[in-house]
Amino acid sequence: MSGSLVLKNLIQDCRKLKKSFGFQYICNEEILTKALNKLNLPAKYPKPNSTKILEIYPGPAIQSLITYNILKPKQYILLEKHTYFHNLITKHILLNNEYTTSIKPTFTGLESIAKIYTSKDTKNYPNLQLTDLNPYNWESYSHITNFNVKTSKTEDPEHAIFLPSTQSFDKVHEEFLILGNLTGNVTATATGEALYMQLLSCITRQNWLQRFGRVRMVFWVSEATARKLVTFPGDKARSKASLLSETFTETKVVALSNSAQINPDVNKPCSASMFNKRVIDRDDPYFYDAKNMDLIEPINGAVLKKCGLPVLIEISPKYNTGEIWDTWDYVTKHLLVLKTRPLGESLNSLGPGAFEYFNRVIQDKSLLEKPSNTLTKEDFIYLTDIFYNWPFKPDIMMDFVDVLQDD
Amino acid sequence: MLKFAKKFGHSYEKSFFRDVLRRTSSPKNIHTSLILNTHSTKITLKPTESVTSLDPSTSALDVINFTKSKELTTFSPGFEPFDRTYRNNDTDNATKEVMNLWPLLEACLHLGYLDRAFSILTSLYAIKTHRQFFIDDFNKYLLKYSEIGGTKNGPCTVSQLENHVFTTLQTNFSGVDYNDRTVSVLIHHSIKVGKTADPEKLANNINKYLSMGLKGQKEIMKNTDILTLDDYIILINDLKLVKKEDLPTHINFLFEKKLGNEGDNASNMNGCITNGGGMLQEQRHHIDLDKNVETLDKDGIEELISVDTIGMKVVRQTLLGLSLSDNQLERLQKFLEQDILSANHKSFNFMDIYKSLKTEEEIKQFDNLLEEINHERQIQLERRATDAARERWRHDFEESKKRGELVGIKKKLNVTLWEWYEKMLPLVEEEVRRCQEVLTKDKSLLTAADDKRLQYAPYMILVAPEKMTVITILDLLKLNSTGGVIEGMRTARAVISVAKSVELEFRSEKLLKNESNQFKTVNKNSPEFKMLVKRAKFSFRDSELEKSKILWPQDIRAKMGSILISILTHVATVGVQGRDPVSNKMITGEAPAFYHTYQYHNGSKLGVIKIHKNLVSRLSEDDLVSAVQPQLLPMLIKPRPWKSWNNGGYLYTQSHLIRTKESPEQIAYLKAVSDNGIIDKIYEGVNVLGDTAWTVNKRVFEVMSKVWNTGGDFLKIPAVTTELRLLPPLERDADPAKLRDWKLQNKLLANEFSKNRSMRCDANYKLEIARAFLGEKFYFPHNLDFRGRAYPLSPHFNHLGNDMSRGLLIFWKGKRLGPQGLKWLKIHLANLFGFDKTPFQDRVKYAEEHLADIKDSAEHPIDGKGWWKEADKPWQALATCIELNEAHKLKNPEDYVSHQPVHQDGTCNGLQHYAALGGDIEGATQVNLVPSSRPQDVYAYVAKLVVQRLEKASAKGDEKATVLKDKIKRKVVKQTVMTNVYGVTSIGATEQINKQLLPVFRERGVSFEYSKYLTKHVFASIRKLFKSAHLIQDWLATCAKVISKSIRIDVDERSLKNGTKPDYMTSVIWTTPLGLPIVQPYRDASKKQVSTNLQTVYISDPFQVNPVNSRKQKAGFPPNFIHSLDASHMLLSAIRCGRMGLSFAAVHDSYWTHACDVDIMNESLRDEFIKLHEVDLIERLKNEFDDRYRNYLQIMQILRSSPAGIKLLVYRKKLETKLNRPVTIMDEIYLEKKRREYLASEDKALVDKGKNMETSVSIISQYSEEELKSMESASSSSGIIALTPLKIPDIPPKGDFDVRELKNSKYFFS
Repeated sequence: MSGSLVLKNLIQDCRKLKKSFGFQYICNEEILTKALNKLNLPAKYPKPNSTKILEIYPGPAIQSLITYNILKPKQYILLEKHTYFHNLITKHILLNNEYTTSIKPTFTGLESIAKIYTSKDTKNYPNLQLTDLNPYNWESYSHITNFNVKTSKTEDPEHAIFLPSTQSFDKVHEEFLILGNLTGNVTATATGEALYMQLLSCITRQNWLQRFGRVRMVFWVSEATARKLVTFPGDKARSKASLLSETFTETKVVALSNSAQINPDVNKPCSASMFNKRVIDRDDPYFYDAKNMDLIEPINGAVLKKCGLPVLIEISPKYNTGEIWDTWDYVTKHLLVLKTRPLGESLNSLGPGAFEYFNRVIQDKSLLEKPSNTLTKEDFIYLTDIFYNWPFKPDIMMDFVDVLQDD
Repeated sequence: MLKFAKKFGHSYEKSFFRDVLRRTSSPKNIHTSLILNTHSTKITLKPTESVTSLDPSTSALDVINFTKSKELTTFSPGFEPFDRTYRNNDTDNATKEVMNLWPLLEACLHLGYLDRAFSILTSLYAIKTHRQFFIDDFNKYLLKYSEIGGTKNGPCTVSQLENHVFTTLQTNFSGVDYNDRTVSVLIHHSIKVGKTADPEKLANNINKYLSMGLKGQKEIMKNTDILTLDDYIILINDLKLVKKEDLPTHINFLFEKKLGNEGDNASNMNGCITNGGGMLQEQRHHIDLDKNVETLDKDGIEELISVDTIGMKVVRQTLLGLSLSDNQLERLQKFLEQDILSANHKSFNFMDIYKSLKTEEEIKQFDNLLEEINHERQIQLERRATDAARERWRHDFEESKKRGELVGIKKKLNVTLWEWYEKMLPLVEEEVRRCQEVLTKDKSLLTAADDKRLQYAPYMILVAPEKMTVITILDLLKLNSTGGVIEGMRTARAVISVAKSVELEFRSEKLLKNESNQFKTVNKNSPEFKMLVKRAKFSFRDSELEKSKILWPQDIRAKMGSILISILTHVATVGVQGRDPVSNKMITGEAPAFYHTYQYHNGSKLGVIKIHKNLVSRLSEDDLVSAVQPQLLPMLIKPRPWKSWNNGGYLYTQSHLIRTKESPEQIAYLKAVSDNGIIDKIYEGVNVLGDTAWTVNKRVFEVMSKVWNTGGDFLKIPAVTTELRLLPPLERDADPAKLRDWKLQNKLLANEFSKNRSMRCDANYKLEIARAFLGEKFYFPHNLDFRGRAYPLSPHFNHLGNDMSRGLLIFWKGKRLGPQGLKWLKIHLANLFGFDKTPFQDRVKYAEEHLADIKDSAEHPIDGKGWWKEADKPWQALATCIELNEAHKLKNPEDYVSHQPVHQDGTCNGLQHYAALGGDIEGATQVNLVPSSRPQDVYAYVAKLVVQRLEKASAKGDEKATVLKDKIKRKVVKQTVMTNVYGVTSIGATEQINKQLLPVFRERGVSFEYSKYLTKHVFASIRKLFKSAHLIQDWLATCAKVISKSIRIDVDERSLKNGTKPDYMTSVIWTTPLGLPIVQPYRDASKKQVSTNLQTVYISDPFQVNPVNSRKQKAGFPPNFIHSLDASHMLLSAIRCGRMGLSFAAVHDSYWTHACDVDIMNESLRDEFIKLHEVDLIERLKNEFDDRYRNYLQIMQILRSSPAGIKLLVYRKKLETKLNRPVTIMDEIYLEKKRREYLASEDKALVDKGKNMETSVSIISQYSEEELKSMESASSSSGIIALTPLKIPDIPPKGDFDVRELKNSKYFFS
């Protein structure tokens, strides 16, 4: 069977799918191809022979096959925990010749040994693998990379299931790409958005998979999530996530539906239900046809209505020393609590007496009048510096909120 | 619509039942009372056969014998605006409006803003549903008007006031009539104005007014809050217009003692009230502390090393109220040999004096004196909290100033507090001034800011700024670490709390003022007479407290609280120290002590007020997490007995009989039974608990304070910890998994730290209170939770507390042990060691074998072998060792006079009630309802059953069973068996079992798998043992489900606003055997948004009745029902023991009395249990449900294609044509209601009309239950909605156990 036929059969089967566990998957080959082409991956990953791709929540894996064909990587591993998709993928592409890995899972905290499925279609997808490890668990990644959390070392690299190369932090990694779909509820309590934020924070700490270098990540997220990530100061959706993205990464909108709303007037603040036109102009994304995308609908139509259609986002980590990352994190978190109120009002949440101190130290008092969501990333770095030099700053920058009792 | 209405001869919009509600008792409205009964509490007690056939002589206490009553007890809530518990657009809003206008009227009158008060009256008058109660609002106004109204030429004259009444009522409030209260205002005023003038004219006036009375002189004279003692004297002695018999009793008996105008020479008041000011003066005098009165000087007791904690200071300060005045000392002297007047004694060990008394006569005299003195001291104790605190701060400030210690960061805490006070007070005064200003400002001149201030201004100026300032400071400190916020509190809680405290202060001040006003003529000083006045005052407080049902609106509270708090946060600072990262030098400065900020919790933003950590650590290493409530200490005199739902307990602090979470429904039912005198037994029982006198166990206290002062950890008291130490930060690129662990660990550390700190504080608090009460005789006022279980009102130190509290408490009264007492004391000791599963003789033996250990423990508690520390309950064990040791020092140990409460605990009390309800013989045996030679152990028995099941399964090859079968110990199943009664879920049970299995299997995942498996077997075993009981449990749950999904027939439009899906408004309500109505309070919370100057807070509206939470109603009912029974059993036992003169205390299913009385108590509680269960309580409940929910409807889905479905569709089509619009459920309910009215009518024609009427319910009712079941549809696509009458399922069968067997079961409670 040819590669394209495999894909065709898979898509055929996908159309019969009635549920997608809350995720949204576009199953239209043309749309997916155009969206992925927009990324211009071959230029970014010039050496297919040493390139590795990790994809989380691939769902029906249609996008995986297309990406595979674009890059023809050395290794392409899928992490999918839903049996439903699992069966679909094994049926069409993979052998169920599971093998158990040689590593001992003791230091990863996993109780069962991972099952790894490899491709039976050695002609078309020789390097494609699938595992049922749960992408939501940090341990899954330690497990496949043979990373011992306790010793902070990669043990027995020879036998790791999936170990990318380590590259220097002065450029974006050229041999390792992370792909994924974070449109849905990844657990009963956490959404894909929550996971996205966790992965983002790994960039600042340069830990987890970001320890291999500045690893590019490409995710499908819901419109609601995307709008929070790409903002300009003053936008209603401006949040800590926007600042984090802006400060530590270059985050771009790659593809979105033609039904997404875009703020018509650049001079007016962008509402939370729209994309900022300046972002769209800057990123020049591909607009797919919302009517013709073969979306596997999430179970709950209301969720779709609230979150909007999938948006493809590319995240390229920037170089950062990250020295006062903890402080930056604390400062931005607290100052954005009341983001539409003047900065002066939120300063006290940094600690007792913060207002008096900042008021004394800040030269340009007009800054205090500005609502927090209109501040630039530079403003926040400036404020972080001031805070860092405050002798009476709180020494414990953690909040311990206990289980709430009701009155 | 109109067509429809005409057809039925009634205007549809004017929902007639609303009008009818107010005429509930009128016999003319029989057809409407049918509707009323459905939501009022009509109770029909139907005695069962077994009861009536019983020989009446078996009942020792007929009065308690509730179940024998054949009379029908019918009562219904009065439906005053406050009580409206049903939901209805109009009335709902009206209720809220009234509830908002009342406090405003109260405030304006208090402040003397007559014009404003009058305009509020106009608003109240405009609320039609309130009209019938309006005259009382008017009377309040009138009373104030008589005081301060009038013209420039002088106060208003009698005729002016009279004119004012009648013209106003005619012109402004037409349709409103005066009542007897109005008359008493007129009388009071004419006496006040005319007593010095022409007596004849005065007599004429009064005669005229008396003749105006509607219900006779008695009714007029009842208004003791209007008429003063002076008025009564003039009416009776001078004018002789009123007869003594017509006075309220508590006033009347003052006249028996020839109260006249002779008592002018009041040379020595001794705290007896001569006028309002006098009392306050004396208060001030007491708290003027310029000496170093650190703590009460208790003879020979080492002072506790307590750190500089604010809570402690307040408590101590309040406890200073316990010290004695010179006069009190003088009175005491006669009981003592030593001279106490010259020695500088400020307090006494009354217990020692009491113990030294020889004759009965002496004891009686001493008791009387003590009560007299303590009554005076109790008033001090309740009234001085804020003043005392402020004085203390000032005192410490002055002291520090003298020593020159006012700089630096290590200032004494009280000094800091005084500084805040001084900075805050002028700002509060300024705010109050502005409030006064806007209130008097011309309306047209008000600015937007004024308008805002105007909302809360009338409330802001009720309490003196000084007091509000102190209250704010104290409240914020006491809220530290509440609501799950470490070192802080939730803003919403804080703002409400502060305002509530101010409100409370206002109310008790007002009460005190009225009291002084009422009794200002009294200045006689004979002890006998003082007793009378005291009694009169008691009654006066009763009637005053009963009246108060005015609450400040929540949004006003929020606004006021936030203003006070923001003033405080603005001025309050603490000293801080830090290292400058640039220069690396230590520097000091000032930082706000409180600051407002936000935290995230589960992704949502939470407004909090944080306390600076420097302050928190200064609040001490033992920061007082628990609330500082000095006004709620144990009482020095017997609590005011409960007489009605809101009347009993402390002298000036109002408490309710039932602790409700602002559930108006619950209060309405409670009030209804209370007003109808149905729950006198409840009062009696709770009063028995309150009447038990206690004292502190001095010997145990000495040991505890020694241990405490070492600062180390001991038994369950954690050691002193000063600083939270977190794990060092991780390297920046640490793995997220590691990072997550690190965060989790730190969180645990923080929790542990704050838990230990609060535990130590709690212990500190208890010890400090105990120390102040050493040698005192004191009482615990009680009230009940919504199921009727009793709790002491004083929160910190009581017998419900932990082992430490219990070890500190003994009965005031001592009783000679005697042979049985000695035996029980030994058994008690064995029980405390956990040696409680053996026959009594073995337990006695156990104690006897340990006599040497007992001696060593008692004589060398700290430096000895410490045997007592091995006990399950070490402190209580120590107390018991001490008593036993003392007894054995005597020639005959039986002669020892014991004060130790001996406990008798039920064997899994919930299961005991279930076994009795279900009649399971084997189950009853296992929980000791059946006589046996040794106590049965239900946990061991269940464990045995589980093993049997496992062995069976194992034999069939079940692997898990094989692994588990030899690992099942009693302990594994214990918790699950215990909580099974209270509806533990299978997940909960699995967790419990897992806790036990984890040490066996080590790995959590594995252990959990096995636990899950085992849970099934444990459940099945319990089910087998208590078969019928479980059927009852299921039945209870089903009933609750059905009820909470039912619709009342006189439903209002709003609960049907969603068309076919109504809001379910019906909660499960039942009546306990003692007549207490229990309303399950579980409803969906709704919160309203109030913006304050701190933040926007969301506050639940206490007057909003929301749809019920069906899930909680269902899950809660079985355990709540059982609790209502165990509560009844306890109260019945309390009444019985109380009547026999026993000292009685109870912690739910553990009953306490003197060792020598245990046998009597045991017999009583068995008798009461039998009496309780001789009636088929389940049948009784079913009858009640059938009656209460008789007219309710259920909604079901019927198959379209079924016969009933077809008939319904035809009927609806017909109706639709008639109405010319689609038919709604509301229409169908309305028609059904009409039909039932006709059927219940006395007019035969109407009955016939009803019989011929077809409604959707009558159509469905033609089918039997089985038929309907077969026609039920699972989905809404194939089915249509049908209304069916609510049907309570049939009662499950009962087993054969006869509860009378219990009579001889000595291990029932043991």
